Amino acid sequence: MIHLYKDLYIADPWPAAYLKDIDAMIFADLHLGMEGVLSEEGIFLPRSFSKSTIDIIFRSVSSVEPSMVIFNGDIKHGFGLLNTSEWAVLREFFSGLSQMKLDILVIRGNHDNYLGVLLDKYGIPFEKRWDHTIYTIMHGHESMSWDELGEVVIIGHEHPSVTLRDEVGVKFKFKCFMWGEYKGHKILVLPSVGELATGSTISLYSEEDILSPLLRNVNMSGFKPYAVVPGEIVQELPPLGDLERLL
Amino acid sequence: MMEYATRRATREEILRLLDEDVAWWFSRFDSLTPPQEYGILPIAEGRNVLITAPTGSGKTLTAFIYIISELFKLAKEGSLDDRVYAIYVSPLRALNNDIYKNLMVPLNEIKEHIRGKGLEFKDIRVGVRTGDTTQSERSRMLRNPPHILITTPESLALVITAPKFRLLLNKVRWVIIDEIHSLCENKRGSHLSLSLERLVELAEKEFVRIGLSATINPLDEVAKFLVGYNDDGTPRDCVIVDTRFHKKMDLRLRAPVEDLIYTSSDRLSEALYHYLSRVISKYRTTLIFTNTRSGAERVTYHLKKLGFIDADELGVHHSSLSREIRFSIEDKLKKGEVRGIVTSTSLELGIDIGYIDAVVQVGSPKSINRGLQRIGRSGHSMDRVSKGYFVALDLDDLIEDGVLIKEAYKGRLDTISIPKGPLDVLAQHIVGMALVKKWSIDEAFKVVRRAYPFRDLDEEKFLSVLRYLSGKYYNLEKYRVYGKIWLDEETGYFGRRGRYLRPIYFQNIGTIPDEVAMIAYHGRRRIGYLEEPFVENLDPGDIFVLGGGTYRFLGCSGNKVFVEPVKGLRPTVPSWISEMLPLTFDLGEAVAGFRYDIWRLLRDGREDEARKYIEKEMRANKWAVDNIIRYIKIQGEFLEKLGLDTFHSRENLIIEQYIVYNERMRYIIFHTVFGRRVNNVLARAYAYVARDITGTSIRMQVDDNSFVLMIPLRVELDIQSLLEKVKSKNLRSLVSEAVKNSQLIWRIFRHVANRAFMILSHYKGRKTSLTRQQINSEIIYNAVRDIPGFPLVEEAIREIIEDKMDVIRAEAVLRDVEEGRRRWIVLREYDLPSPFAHGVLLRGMQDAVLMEDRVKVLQNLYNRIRERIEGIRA
Repeated sequence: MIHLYKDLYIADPWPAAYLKDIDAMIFADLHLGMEGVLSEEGIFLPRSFSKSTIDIIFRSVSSVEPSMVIFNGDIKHGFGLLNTSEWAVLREFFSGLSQMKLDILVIRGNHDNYLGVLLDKYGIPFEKRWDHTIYTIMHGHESMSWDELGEVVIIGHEHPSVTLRDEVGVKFKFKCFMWGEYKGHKILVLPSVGELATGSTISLYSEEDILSPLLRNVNMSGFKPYAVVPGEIVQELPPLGDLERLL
Repeated sequence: MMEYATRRATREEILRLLDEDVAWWFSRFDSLTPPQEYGILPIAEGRNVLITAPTGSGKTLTAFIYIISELFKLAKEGSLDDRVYAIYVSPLRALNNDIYKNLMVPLNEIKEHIRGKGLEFKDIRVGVRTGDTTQSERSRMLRNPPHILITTPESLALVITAPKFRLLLNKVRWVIIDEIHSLCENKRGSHLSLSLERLVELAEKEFVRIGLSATINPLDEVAKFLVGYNDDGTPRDCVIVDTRFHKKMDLRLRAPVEDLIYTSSDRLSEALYHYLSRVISKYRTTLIFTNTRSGAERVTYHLKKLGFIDADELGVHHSSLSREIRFSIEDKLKKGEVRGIVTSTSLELGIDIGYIDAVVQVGSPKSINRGLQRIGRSGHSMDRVSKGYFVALDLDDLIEDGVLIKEAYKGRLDTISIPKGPLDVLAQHIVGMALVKKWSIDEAFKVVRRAYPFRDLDEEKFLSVLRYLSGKYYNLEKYRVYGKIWLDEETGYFGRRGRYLRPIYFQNIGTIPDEVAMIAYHGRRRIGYLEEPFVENLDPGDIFVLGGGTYRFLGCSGNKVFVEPVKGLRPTVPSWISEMLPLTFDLGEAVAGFRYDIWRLLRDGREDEARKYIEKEMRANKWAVDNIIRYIKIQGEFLEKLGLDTFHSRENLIIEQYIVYNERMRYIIFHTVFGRRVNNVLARAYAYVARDITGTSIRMQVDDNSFVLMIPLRVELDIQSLLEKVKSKNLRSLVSEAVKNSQLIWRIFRHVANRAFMILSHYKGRKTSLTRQQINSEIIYNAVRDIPGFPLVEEAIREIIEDKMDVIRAEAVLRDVEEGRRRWIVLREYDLPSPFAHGVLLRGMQDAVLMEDRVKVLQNLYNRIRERIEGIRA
């Protein structure tokens, strides 16, 4: 575990945050069932992404053994009604989870339309945001006034990744957490768990690439990326502003 | 059996062979052309024939005259059915329209002639069916089928699958494949070869195949490609008519300036444009070839600006131009209204472009065959001389051009390679076959193996394609959407599945990947074109090379890419010079031999002899001779300084170690004039091994004459042990592994997945969507790369290492080293690169073999950051 602030940790080596006081893991952006959505559009991929995403969640939960799991938005990928293959993937996922004797909370993301029906079956609560002591957990696709938020804001939606260059100039892209401050708030942006979720490279060059309306005016040069290789390592890196100078 | 035609027919003999009225028409020609002398007879005997001859030699008429004659005979007897008797296939739609016009002339004249005698008979109908053919034209064709069908490979695959049209094909007696040289080297050809075997299944009797080809080699293999194999595995019979060298050539080698090294690029261009203007003013019509589309644009622009030639009399023609523009230029050419026309590759093929006096080749055409094909566009008829000028803008091109001329006069040609068993093409055809009927696996396998590219296909691979199409690799058979066919391995049958299959097949057929070109802008100024998959890989801030300049990528929107020019910064991403043609192996070997011969003459103090040799064998002007001599001399002096008393040759493969202190890098430069297809294989294999020895990613740079590995100075790498670890026996597996971990495979896999209907460009009427756009080639490849034995991944690797690259010749090179026919010579370290290395360092295509262990990459990066931070603090 990498300690960030008070009760907030990174569940190293997993792409999840951890709140110690309530023993909860927080994941974001699973985008399950993307293969099914793609097949409707004439791209026929095997279900390997959903499989490896589910695999990461189950492995990390069995290793950390939290008493609660929070999914911070975009559990599924398709915007529309659940199609057969999405339905099957999600059922498999929640059936597996419900056997693990956990409290589960799902925060609604912009992709999570029509998810409520399924969650009802498993008696899983489905919220727009969740506030707990100083922490606000929400997906981050809607703009909000910072005054309405807790001291620590935990969001997803952004799928941040960081591009690093090795000494011969070859580029490598890593998913990452972003940890920084803005207007007296501390902000943690979660990496996407979904293998397929492409996301944007956070760089100081292009502010217009930032997806979350919450982050749009935030100067991120002081944010620290924590690069993730799921199940292997989480590596703290220097703040973005320094990183671009150093590599 | 392959047999060369030796019997030369007389004009009278041929006239006797034909229907009397067709003979009346044909008798207007006073004499036969060489293809006609040797080709018509075997066609009349019902034998398969491959005719190879330069353009303008009456090939097409050779193929058609006997067919026309037979059709008139049937028509007069009243036994001409409403069926297709002859199919003519060419790769170019434009060529199809030409052929249609050229056929209608004799058909109409003969018809009038017979009608003049008071005879009534059924018209002989000719129909063109291509992707442009409208629905109503297609239904008209069903009601009144053409007796001669003119089509493209893609449309042929459609008509043999279309439920009604295929029934009209049972009487097919002749199939003509035109421009077969441009088909057999790529997947379009593999696709066509399977269509032909499927057509055999439809026809009552085996039909006669007639192949028409420009200059190509080896003829035996092309003939086998044309005719395919019998069910028992023996090749079908074929008569080869070889009239390749009957046309006279006059070739010249020119350097536009006195010194190609010390002349600034501005002055060099100026000299080039003046030279081109002089050639154009000397002739009525001159055709100028550049190797790239942007080059063609640039040359035209400057020639117009220079003003020696009236701008209206200059034209440009390449495949990125709209059809209307191209047609209008072709039309002007035919009418003789242009003096000079500049083109990249689009006018290489045989569309009738009228009268051309001279051809200028700017730079090197990289292949003897291509050079001859281009030069052959001038003096368009057999008795005229083909005039060709080769103008080189750098020293390597100059030598390549000169050696090409020398080899061409000796009658030497490049050996082509024909793709072997492409599984994506196979998958597409299996879908087509399943649409027609239920197949036994054995029967389908038998049909497929008759096609030349699939003759060695093993049954397990064939089954893996069937399994893929039936959805077996997806582990989710319950979702029917993934299966295009049903497959019952117990009973041994397969057939179609799903109601969308027919539209999927008809809308997505073909083998040419449709890649979107994106346009790069600096502000509002257009810089050039970029391929979409290349842009996918760019992040803001990346620096890359485009059209000779260096640019920073800022972002993109729609199909616009925004860049800004930067100076003095190294590119951060490899550039793809996919437009650039690779040097052929045979021409490369000839270059290596030539350079050594000249060096030896110089070493022995026989410079005059060397000069005379170049002047005579290469038809070189004085500046060309001076440049070549100077280039080889200075390289010789460089090697001598490093203690070497021999020179680059076919046998001597020299390795240079160039230390770049300010980059803290060692450049290991392998001088191998094998062309990029072979050098790419070697570079990747050595880089892969070097990566494992050093534990860092290895960057490389590949060119036709050499390749470079770039290795950080801090790591130890013993070159001898590196050389020993790459052998002819493990080369294929090394390079396969390297390719699996390169960025190149992302794009190639996407093409393969397109052809095999895993990714559909057209589906349920939609073309693009948000989710589709987000799915880049890397993601798609990662979804399947680890499925064991997945046929499409295997095919992507095969396409890269066998077609895009040439692993087979690379293996042969290493075998030569192992058996002592070639040797590596490693030079000592030096802080300057040799003159022969300048080319690769300037224009080499870059790529890298990546580290796979992401944890290690991250830790290495972190260590570097820490060192850097501590360095700053200290």
